[in-house]
Amino acid sequence: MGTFLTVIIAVPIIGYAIYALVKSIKQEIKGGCSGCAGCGVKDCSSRKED
Amino acid sequence: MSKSITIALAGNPNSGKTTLFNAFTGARHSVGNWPGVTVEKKEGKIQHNNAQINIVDLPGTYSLSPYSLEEVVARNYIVDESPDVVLNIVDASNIERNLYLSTQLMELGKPVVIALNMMDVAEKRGHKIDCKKLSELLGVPVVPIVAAQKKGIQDLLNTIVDVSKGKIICNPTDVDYGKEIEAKIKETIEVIKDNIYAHKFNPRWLALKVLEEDEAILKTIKLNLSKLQSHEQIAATSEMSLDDDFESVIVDRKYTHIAKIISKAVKKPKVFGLTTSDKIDKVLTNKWLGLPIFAGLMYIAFWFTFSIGNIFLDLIDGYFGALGESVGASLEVAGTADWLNSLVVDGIIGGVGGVLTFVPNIAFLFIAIGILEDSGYMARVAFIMDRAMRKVGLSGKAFIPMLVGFGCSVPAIMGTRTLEEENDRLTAILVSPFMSCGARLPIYILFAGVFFPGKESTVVYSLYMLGIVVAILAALTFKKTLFKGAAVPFIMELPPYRIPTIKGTGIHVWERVKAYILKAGTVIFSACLVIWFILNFNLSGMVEMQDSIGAGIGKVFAPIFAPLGFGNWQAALSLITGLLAKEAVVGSMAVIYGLGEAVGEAAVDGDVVGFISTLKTAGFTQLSAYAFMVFTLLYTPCVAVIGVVKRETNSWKWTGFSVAYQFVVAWVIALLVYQVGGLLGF
Amino acid sequence: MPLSMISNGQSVLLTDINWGPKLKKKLQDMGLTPGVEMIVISNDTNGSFILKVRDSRLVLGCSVTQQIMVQSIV
Repeated sequence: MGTFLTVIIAVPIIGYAIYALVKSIKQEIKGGCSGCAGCGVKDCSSRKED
Repeated sequence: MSKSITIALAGNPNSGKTTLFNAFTGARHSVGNWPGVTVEKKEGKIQHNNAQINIVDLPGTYSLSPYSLEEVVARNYIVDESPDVVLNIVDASNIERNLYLSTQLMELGKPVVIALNMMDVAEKRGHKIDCKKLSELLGVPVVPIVAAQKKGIQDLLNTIVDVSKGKIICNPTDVDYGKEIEAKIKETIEVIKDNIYAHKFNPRWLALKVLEEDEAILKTIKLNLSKLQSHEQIAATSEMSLDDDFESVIVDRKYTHIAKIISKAVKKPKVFGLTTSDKIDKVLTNKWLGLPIFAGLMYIAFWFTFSIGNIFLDLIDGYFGALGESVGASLEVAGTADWLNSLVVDGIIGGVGGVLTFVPNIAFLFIAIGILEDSGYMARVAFIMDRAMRKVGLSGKAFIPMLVGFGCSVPAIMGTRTLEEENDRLTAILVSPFMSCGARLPIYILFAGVFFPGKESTVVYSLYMLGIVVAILAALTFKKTLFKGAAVPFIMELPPYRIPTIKGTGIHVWERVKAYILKAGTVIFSACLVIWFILNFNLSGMVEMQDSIGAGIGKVFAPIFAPLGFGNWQAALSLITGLLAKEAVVGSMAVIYGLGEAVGEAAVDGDVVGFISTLKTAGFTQLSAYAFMVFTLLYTPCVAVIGVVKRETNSWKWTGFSVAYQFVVAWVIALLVYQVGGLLGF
Repeated sequence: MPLSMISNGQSVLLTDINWGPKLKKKLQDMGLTPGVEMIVISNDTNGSFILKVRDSRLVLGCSVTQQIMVQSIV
């Protein structure tokens, strides 16, 4: 039972982490904003199309 | 069947062009660069009634001369791409100067619609503008709007569509340049009318440009002016009997034309003396008071960030601590694997929670900066700092992007585009990261809170000031060695003071806070997971932290920091994670020291002793803590910033240099702090 | 006389700009044409000036104000 729960919880967490990591690396290479704390500044030219 | 039209947005800087563009498109626009140049290009699409309107935002300019990149980009677009309508934003409270660009836009020959913006400000100043009369005298439609309040937008869009359909005809009144020049214009039109490259230009405008010896135009129509002049078809303008050079006379006549129109359509109260805005400026930019007032305001901003932010900080701390405990307990009961328990509680809740704890402080810092920005004070700061900047060889204008760096270095570096001199720009780019960015703040709050209780604002304030000082010294060094050159003459317009609206500033702050939280939920989340992993495992499986891969990495680099007072693997590893994102330093420490639990316990016990003992056992003292903060203030920024530096400088050489030299500067100064501090008995 | 010598609060009329064509044009584009009235709002003798010109506020560095010739309005 414990092992089952472990898997159920662990897989989405680790999966999401990998997804988030890959996405931000891709964005970084493409030159897009990876969400730095200043991205809200109106002229931040690396904001992508919403 | 919807028709698709394209309009170009043109206007002075500070005329509200961006506000109008955003009012049109909301968040639905894309940002890029004009091909081949580092000038930003914004485009968007909207639906109005049955028409689809493409909006191209041209760079804000005061004129359309060939002297600056923005102006060339703007006028080339209008001539080459031939938009259906040129929408000209005019600041009603500054109408004379704004109409100067309008006359040039009208001379280009494309249909122009004038959006008279900031009508509310004009009204407050007692300016009465008769839009109908103005429209008559100018020969183009004039629509009053208040972009910031989205007033008049519908009318404006209707007018634009009507113009594009031909329902409203634009018939701009020509500027009368005087008999002699008008005659010359006629002659020139005759000469160039058969030029095969000239057909896309308005003849009168083209003739004027030829007479002005506009190099860019002459090249485009392949006209060799001296050849023509020697054939006496077009006499050189120096042969005219004008009291100034040709270009100056043209400018003057345009302004005379504008003044005449204004005298008939605008009633201004005769203001004796200065407006309130000016009076405020006299004080805030005073020779003796200016700088101290600025320093004072900054201090207040920090104090605000701390004293109010910390109230929330304790609340959130406690919350995450409790969350960690209850989740941990539930997982145990459920019988899940121990490692998962640790992953969730120490790794995620501890790590990400540790970063999120500082959201209130970040929010308050951004509120303070936002108020200063939106009120227009930041522009005054450029003026105040100009004197100090001159001594370093930079103009005060370079200080503005650096101020933006207090939020995040990325827009700060992009903001250096406003500096025309390439040397100045490079210097500013290399020096901006010393202005402590928002992501470094949690580190200061944590360490200042633990090691300097009660004196947090002073400590953090000292760090920010140190950052400014180092930035200025570095700029001085660069200007004297690598980038020798005279400072560019300082010419800048000051926007009028505005009372920041709660809504306006609130939106800005919210966007930044949202970005911070989002970043915590994505990048930091994955980073904390990775960090948790390398701290709990090595090649033989799950182990004690001391023996983990992470500790191993940290131990390799720890000796570098020994002379700085924090030669332990924990500090070293955290600093390395800081290359990914500065928030990760706090995140790592939270995972390493199990701060999630310590916070929980401390909150339960009602004191912060838990922190101190945990950090102190790692070998931190007050002095080494300060040295650590100095190091994190100055050292290499996160990969996002490094990426921007590469993009803006287009050179691996400078990017590599900035990474290396910032590390060295941080190391040396932290060293000085620790060693000299030790000698002084701290 | 050069604008740099004008004190706080004074009103002057522009007479000439002694500068190269590019910078002269830039100043003119911002409204500084012969005969225009300017009011000195803030004057920092070692640094820059804040001027009111045609309803707008401009900041001009000291190197610039030294090259702008004006005459005072009595």
